[in-house]
Amino acid sequence: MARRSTVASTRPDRAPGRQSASRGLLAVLPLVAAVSGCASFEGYPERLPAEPVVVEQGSAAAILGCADETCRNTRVAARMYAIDTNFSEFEQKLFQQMREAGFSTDVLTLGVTSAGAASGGAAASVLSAIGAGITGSRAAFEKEVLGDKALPAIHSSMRANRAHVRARILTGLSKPLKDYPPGIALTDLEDYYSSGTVLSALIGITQRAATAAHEAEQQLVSISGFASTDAANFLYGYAVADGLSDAEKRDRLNRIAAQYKAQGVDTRGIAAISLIRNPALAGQTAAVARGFGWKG
Amino acid sequence: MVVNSDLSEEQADQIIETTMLEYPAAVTAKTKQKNGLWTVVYRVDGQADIVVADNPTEQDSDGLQEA
Repeated sequence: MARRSTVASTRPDRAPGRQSASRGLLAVLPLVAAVSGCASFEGYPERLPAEPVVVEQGSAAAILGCADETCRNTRVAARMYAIDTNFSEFEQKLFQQMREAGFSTDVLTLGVTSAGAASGGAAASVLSAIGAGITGSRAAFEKEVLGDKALPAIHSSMRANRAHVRARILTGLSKPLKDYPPGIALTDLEDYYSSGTVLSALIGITQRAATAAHEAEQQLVSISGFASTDAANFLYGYAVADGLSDAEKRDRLNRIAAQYKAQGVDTRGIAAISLIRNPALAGQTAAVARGFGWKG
Repeated sequence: MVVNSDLSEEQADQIIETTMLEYPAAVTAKTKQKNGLWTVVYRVDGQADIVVADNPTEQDSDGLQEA
């Protein structure tokens, strides 16, 4: 069976709902191929294995010709099996190719940058910033994302996407023929196949990154100004008093933060110093300071 | 992620140093605002984060670039 050699010409019957999401990313893989220097890398499993019985049973014509649930379920299952078999081989080859070629960093860098530009909005800024290394904790990002976790990220994303579509198909197969006709099943099977591609994995990673960026925005704590009240200065002096070891200072800061929490302040993700120096918490700071011996 | 803005440089340094004391794995960044004051951004859970400042003129932190 001929292997796919390009991206644009290999997706004729993608599930309609994913067209727009994928279109912007279609530009990614040619770039990946260009930089990889690995002619054998394709990013796609083969369509069907060379098993005549399975191919025949799971062919589109066979599925579309079904007139009852048993026929539909048997033939859809055959096609799923064929896709699963090829996916297993594909995963193995992908792992080998990426390791040997050592281009996981290129794939992820291009994937993040291009996907970020395609997805739009604030998430795009964040993703593009990551890819371009404009600002941010690049060293940490490289270590966590572009390093050892690049390959597992692609694999786990493909598997997660496949599991999602598989559940949809299995749910469909439990329905009567009129509610889950062969044509819809075939569309879902195409989606199932697509879920096992690198392109699909990159889309999944991008979507999750966008979600993470959104959540980060939601959790943003903004503090303006710097409280220099007697209570704030007292607490700071108490926390970092001369002669204390770092461990003792850390303990004091933790205890101060706990007292703010006891005052009803949401302290999650906030260092004690930001609580102490927050002008908006002057009342709580005075109360906490009194708890540690401030006489004001 | 926490953003402390409108700080003097000395105040910004105090925020960073004390935060690192409490959370050694924190990721921090210090950016000079257009008005000459400073902004500190940090995350205490140790995860990488992205800081896009509003026309920063100077940046200073682990892994950050000088603008």
